[in-house]
Amino acid sequence: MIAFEHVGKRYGGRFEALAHLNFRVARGEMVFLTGHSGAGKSSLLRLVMRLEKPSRGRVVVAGHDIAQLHASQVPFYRRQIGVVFQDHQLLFDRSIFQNVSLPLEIQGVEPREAARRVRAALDKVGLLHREKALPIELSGGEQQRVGIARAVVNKPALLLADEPTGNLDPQLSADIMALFEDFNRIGTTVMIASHDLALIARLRHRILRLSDGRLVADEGAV
Amino acid sequence: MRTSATPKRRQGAALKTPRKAAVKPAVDKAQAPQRGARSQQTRFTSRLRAWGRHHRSMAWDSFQRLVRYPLGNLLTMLAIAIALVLPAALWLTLDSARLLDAELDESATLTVYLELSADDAQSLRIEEAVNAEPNVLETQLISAEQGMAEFQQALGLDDALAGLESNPLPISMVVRPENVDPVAMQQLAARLEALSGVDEVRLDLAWVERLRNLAELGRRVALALGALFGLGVLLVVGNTIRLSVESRRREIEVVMLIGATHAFVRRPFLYSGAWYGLGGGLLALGLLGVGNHWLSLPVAALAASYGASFSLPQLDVTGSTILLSCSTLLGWLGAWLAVTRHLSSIRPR
Repeated sequence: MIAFEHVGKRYGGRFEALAHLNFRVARGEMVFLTGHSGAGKSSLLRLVMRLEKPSRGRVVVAGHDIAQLHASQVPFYRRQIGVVFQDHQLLFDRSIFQNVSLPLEIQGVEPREAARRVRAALDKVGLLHREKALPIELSGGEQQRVGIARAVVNKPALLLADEPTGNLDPQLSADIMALFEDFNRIGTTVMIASHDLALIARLRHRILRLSDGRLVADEGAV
Repeated sequence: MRTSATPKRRQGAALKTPRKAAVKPAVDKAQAPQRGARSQQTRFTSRLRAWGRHHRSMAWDSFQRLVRYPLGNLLTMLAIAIALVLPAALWLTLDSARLLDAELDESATLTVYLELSADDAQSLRIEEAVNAEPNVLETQLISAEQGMAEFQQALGLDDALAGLESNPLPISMVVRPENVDPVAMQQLAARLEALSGVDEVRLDLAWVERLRNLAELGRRVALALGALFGLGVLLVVGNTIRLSVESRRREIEVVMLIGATHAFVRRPFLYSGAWYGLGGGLLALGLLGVGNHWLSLPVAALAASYGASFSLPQLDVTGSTILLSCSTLLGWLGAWLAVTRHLSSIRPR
């Protein structure tokens, strides 16, 4: 599903955010990405989302070499990837329902079908009863769950998450991770960047450890 | 672990997928073989319907945003309206001058003065000769007495002229040419002047010419002003849209993160621009109407004092439609320029 081949990424010609990255993530796998802050976790996710192109090497996601994607194809590429952000990136002038239905609106899904899928996604994260609320009325953990619902509402083959439990207490964090495991169980490839080492060690999935832009450990890999 | 050989093989196949497949979501790829041409067609029509749906909802959404801040948006539209009123008013004025011009053509005539010695019989012969010339529509003889009477009437010199012993005026003839083109008229005049018994041919084209030149000048000024003020409308709309893009920057970033195309992002702003243009055009029509009403009384009084009836021209249905479509198009274009310029600077974080 994801293949990094000798990937390097420099910013401004000097700072080397990533170097000599080589790894593969198979379809249906669940992978944690960890390392101290500044180790390159976010840079790596930005490459997968095609927010940036690698400076060297090849990044292949779902069969697409992301450097080869034409600018006009990028939106369609991104629709195959669900992304959960640390700061959730919700729109605060829209209701929970409208926030979650945004990806479907972008893809032009017929409204009745969209409503059905939005409710299914909200139900999955346990927020069906709050669909009319505004994001501001929700707690941090609930907002994060809305972000997850939005990421999975169009059933992406790949789910990325950047510090999804960054600001949450341990119990809420465990709930969120359990949610990701549920999606992984139905076949979604999941990649989560997190520095909550205690939590991810308990979950027994593959862990990619980054340090100074290099892959220093690949634990639990097959 | 869930990773088995099968998904890896499939991944390998996916790597070789040609570039064109990039636009298709991964899910469709797996199902595609079972589907036929018919489902492709339904997918196309459903996509078309989704496109139409988004257009409708964005048109409505941008209209509601307009209504939500009525004062600021009204001011924007007023600025557009003022920019439109000036060239439109000038154009209308020229249009009425063109009507005047057409009347002038109607009255374009040559006056042929016969030699003083010519008597009635000779004048009839000359008239025949004139009528035989090409480009002569009709002629009218004016006897010396008639000419004197007209002269007296026009100048109000009854007493002075009454003192004259004999009528100093020759017999004259008014010739109406078929072709009122200045060159053709000049040629005709030259030919008539060459006829025997003709003393002089008067052809006062200079002021007709001058008026035409003036009208042409006005037309060009109107066009230049129109272009200039059209640019003004573009700038007004562009600036307003730029601010509104800036204020919705976060929203744009988010929707681009989750796969919105540029067209999708642009659409609501294009509709806003078109609404601004349409609103500005309607206001301009209103302003023109008010101005017309305000000026119509003094203009009518002025015309009456010259013994003429002249009313200010008004925009007819065609004119109004042209004005509204132009303003809407300008608004749309201004928005397009502003959004396109800005989108390139917005990159999702």
